[in-house]
Amino acid sequence: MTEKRKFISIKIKLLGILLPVILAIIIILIGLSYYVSRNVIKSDAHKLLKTSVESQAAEIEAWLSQNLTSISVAKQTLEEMDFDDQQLQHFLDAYYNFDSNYPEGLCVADSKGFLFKSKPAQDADISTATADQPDLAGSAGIQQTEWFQDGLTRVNLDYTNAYANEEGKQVISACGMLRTSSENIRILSADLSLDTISVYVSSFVKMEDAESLLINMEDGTILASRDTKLISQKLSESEDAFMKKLADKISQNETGLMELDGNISVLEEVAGTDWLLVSYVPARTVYKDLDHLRNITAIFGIISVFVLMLLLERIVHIVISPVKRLTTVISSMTEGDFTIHSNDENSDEIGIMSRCVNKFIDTMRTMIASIDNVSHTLHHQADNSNEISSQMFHASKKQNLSMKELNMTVEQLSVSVSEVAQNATTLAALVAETKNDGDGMNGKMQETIVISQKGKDIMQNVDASMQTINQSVRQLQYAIDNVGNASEEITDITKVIGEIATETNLLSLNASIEAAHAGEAGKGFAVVATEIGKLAQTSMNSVNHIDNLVLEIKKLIGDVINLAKNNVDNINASSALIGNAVKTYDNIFENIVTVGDLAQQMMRKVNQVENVAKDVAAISEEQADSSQAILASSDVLVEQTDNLMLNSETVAKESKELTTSAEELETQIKTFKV
Amino acid sequence: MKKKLSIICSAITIFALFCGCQQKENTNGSNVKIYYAAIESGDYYEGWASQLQEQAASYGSAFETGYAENSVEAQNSQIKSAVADGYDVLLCGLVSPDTVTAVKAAAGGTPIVFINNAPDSSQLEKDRYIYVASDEFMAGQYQAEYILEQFRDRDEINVAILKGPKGASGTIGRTNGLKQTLKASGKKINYVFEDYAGWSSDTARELTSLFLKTGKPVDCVAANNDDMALGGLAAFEEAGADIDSVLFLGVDASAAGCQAIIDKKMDFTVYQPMSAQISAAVEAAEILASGQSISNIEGASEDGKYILIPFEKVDSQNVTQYQ
Repeated sequence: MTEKRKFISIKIKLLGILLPVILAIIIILIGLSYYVSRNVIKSDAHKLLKTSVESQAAEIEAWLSQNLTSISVAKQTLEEMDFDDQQLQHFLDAYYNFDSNYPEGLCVADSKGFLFKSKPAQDADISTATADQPDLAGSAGIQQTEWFQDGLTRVNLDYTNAYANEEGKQVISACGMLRTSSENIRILSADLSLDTISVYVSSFVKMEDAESLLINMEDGTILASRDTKLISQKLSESEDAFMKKLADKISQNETGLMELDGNISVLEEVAGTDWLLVSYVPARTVYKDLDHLRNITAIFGIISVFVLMLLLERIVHIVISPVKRLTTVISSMTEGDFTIHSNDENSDEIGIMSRCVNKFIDTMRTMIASIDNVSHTLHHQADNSNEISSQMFHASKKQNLSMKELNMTVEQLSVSVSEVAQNATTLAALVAETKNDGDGMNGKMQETIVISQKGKDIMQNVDASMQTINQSVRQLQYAIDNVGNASEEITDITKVIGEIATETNLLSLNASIEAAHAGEAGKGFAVVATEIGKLAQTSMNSVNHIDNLVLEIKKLIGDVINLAKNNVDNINASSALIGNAVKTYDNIFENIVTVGDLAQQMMRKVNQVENVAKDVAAISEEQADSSQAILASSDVLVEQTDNLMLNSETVAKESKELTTSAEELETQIKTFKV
Repeated sequence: MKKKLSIICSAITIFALFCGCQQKENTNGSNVKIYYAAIESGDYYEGWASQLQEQAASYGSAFETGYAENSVEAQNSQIKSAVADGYDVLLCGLVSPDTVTAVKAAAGGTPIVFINNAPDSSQLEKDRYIYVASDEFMAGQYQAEYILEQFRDRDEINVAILKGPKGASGTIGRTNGLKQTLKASGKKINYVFEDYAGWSSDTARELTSLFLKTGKPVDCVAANNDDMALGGLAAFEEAGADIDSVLFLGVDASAAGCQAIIDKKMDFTVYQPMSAQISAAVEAAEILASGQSISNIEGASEDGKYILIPFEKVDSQNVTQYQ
């Protein structure tokens, strides 16, 4: 959905890029051409105005100098000829209506106030009359005239400022002193109407809407203008803003092209005079053409922009339409529809694209068909592999368990083998010790045999001694029987002593009682009686003691007799035993010898056993090492079976996924329409 | 990369070498050829020619002079042949200011330094066609300043003007300088006499004596050159008029003019430094020949068309310096 929202067609993009660029180019081009044309028009206008003013000024200059020359000729003639008054009058008359520029002809006035003036031919009579009698009254008036005063300031003819003559006409006079040797100064003058100059000023402007003014620079008076009301007015006194600005410029002696109060103006000095010719044209007149040009270019620009926009839109549309069709084809292609076909008749890049797309569609169709087949097969295979892998998983699980058990067994085996090895080693050690002991025993055995030999000899001596001892003991028994008899007699004596002691004791006891009865007299006796009693007591005790001793002795003797009897018996028995012992000893001796032999044989056997035990120990150690290695291997094996189990689990899972994928593939392939 | 750099470096070195050579040739000036087209033969212009030649020699440049003897045709053909002979720059005293277009056409593209006679401003072109001259307006201005200084207490001054030939640049510039400066003072100025005496002492004398007959009051006689001032002075002396109360002003500081100032007859003149004009003209010619701009020369105007050499005031105070 978001993609659809962002969709901007190529057409819009193309137009979006092309239109602004073209628009900008057109605007720049038109703007540039307008700017250039504007400058050209402006400078043309300026040039035209300048040329116009220059040509006007030149015309005026030419007109002025032409008249000055022609009057100068008359002046020179007058100076050379030195006419008298009559001749002078005739000469002047000839100039009446001679030149249209100064139709009144010439006049000469002198410092005395005489005036000679050109007169019409028909009035010749009158003129001569008046010439003879010059008007003295008017002399002061003549000398105060503009031209007379001005003429006094020069010899070579030049023009006065414009002034109104007696008839009120605007004129300029060409005047100057006549060269003369006399003291009387004569001024020659000719009045020129400003009409001709006005014509030049007002009509010779070569530019539409332009106007001209002729201005006297000295005082700012307007000498000529199309608007006659302005003539003789002073610029500085004018109300007009343009005139005031013009007066400013003139007072600053600025000339040339300038823009004053919205007027393009050219100020040009008229050579040889103090005159300034001013031509001016309202700037808007000049810019009217510019506005026209601007409008035309603007309209042209807008039209060309529209036409170009339309053209572009059409061109882009035509160019883009096969792309659009192709886009539809590709769009349906992306949705899985390969049953469509693109139009490939175009000969351009788009045609190539279409053909390529068609080719692509064909290829895709074939490809999808084969993929479909393959996916079916794949599905089956995936199912199979899924089953197999799950079986494998179970198998590997079992195997793993078995493996673990095996491992445990191997471990136990290993422990057992280790124990065996240890035991074997211990055995070997023991055997070694036994061998050593055996060696010792063998030595001892030999010693024992030697000692036994000696013992046998001693035994025979003992038997002999025993016989002796038996005789001695019989003698002793006899002695002891004598002792017993003696002790019986002692006992009889003691019995008598004892009976006496008892009677004594009883006597003492009676004596003491009697003594007590006797009182004081009996006391000494009582002491003796007591002492006798004590003595009797002690004697009785001793008799008892002796009796006891005799009893004891009797008893001891009895014991000794018994012992002696026993001794005799024992000795007899011992003799018998010793005899037996000797016999036994002989047997033992023989046996010991046999044992010694046996021990030596055993030693040999023990040696053999040691060797065997050593071998067994070494072998069982090797076996223990091997069993450790087996254990390690079986550990690895267990790990591997663990891995195998995990892997087979993964395989099982993945084969499940493969099945799912195969199913998906099948379903997706089904989305393609072929 | 290194190779490229070295190529560029060597190219620059070679270029710089060539530039150096060119520069050297130019400063040597051995191949700059200057042609002076003078108005006519005679002391005045021959004096110009010799001074110009001297100046050109100091630059090591070749120099040649042609005298047109007041003939427009002769001047044009001289210029044509000079250009054909390979002269690099022309010094030209125009026979007539009106023929400047023809002279320019004859010169082809060769730059021209105008001297002696002023062409119209519109005919000049920056760093190509230039005019070297004294600032004529300044001469008139100095005269007017002197007059105003002398009559600073007066409200009204009576002035007689003796002008050069009609239309000559010196006449117009000096007269305008005088009149405009006087006008600007605000005093009332009466021009009691004003006429063209054509640089001539005799004409000036004749005109002045006629003027004196009118009996008009006069406070000063301002002439466009010393000769005319002296002519006016002579007329006054002839007529027995008082010359002490009247100022006589000239231009040029000529020997006679300076002497008259020392003699207290003339009062003021303006020195036109000809040597400065000559050195400026030759310097400008050398620069134009090398195709450079004159804007660095002293006195060059802003529009690059003129080199104006200032005048110097000469009165009784400093006249001895100019004798």
